[in-house]
Amino acid sequence: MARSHRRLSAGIAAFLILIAAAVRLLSVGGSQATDRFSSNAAALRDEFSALELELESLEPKGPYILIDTAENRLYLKQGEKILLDAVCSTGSGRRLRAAGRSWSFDTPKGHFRILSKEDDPIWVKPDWAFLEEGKPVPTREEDRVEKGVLGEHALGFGDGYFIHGTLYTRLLGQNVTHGCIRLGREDLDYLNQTVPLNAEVYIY
Amino acid sequence: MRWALLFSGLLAVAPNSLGLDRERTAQQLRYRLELAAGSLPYLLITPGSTVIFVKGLQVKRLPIREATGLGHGKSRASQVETMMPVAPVRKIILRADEPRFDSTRVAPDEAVSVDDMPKAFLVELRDGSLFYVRSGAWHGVSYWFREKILQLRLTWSYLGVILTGNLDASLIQLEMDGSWARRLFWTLQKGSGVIY
Repeated sequence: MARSHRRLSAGIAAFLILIAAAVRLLSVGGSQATDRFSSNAAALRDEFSALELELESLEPKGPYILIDTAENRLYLKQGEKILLDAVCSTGSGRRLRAAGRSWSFDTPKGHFRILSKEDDPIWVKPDWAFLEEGKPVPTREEDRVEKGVLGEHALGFGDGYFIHGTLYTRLLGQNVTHGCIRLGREDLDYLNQTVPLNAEVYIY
Repeated sequence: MRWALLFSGLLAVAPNSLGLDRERTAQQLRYRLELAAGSLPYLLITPGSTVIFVKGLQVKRLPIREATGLGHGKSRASQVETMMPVAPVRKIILRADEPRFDSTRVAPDEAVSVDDMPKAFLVELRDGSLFYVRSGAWHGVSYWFREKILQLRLTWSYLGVILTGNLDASLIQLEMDGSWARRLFWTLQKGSGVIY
């Protein structure tokens, strides 16, 4: 009888010790996890802020140009404010194969800057402009020059691409160009007045 | 004891899982910065929309009706390797010996516009992950047949990726309105960054 009592009390004691150990483990594990979580959360919060600041620093400071080639629209913005929302024309996506060479008439997508601004620009017609019309490529440079077809201003953003005017305003809103961006006269005037050299251009 | 340890282990895991979303968002911010170093447009794909960025600037948002297969764990980033449309995209090739048009006389059907883009397509990323974009609407028997072929291609590509041991590769399906799907195809090009 006494022996069975002793066994019972030893069993109860062992059970209690087990419970205490489990409780201890739980509290240690839980608090360690909570500490780890809060320090991770603080580190993430700091990193968040730093990353967001870095991303904000990439945002353009002055007026910038957005060109949506799918919708044929040009936006001039400053911060969140839209200064100009204009219909434009962008690349036709056509391919030309002639004289053993090939050209793609796409508007390039990505990030660019306004590198030049010209008033009353003249067009020095490239080879494809003659080949496309079935004409021979001239040998004299002066035979390439055409006046008045680019409108009153041309804003260059590199690799021979320009934002310029057009004589054919009925084609605005369509993908018809050789890669340049065409704008109507009033919109081009405003853009030319507002956008400084080195302004950022985002084409997508 | 083992149960107690297991239970304490579960307690320790719970707060970390709460932090997974934060970690995922932080990772996406890191990728956005990384991809902003290049000049091509790049995408961030979330369950509700596809956001287009250029040089860190958000320029467009295309809504997604339903997204399946987007992980809740770590965010990932890769580049577009190939794009397979449900049907070949219209190409206009001019040749010097054919009657030709110049850009002053061009008619709308003589140019490629966003309306020529496909409403269903498959995108293979360099990390082996695959995106299947579809509009989910009925476009006729021929389109349905072509879509089934594209889906077979998708299954085949995914099996190929898994068999090469790339178990991290994801298979993601995005259901979008047809016009948004076309705009997404229009934006993408080989080398475009994708965060997902």
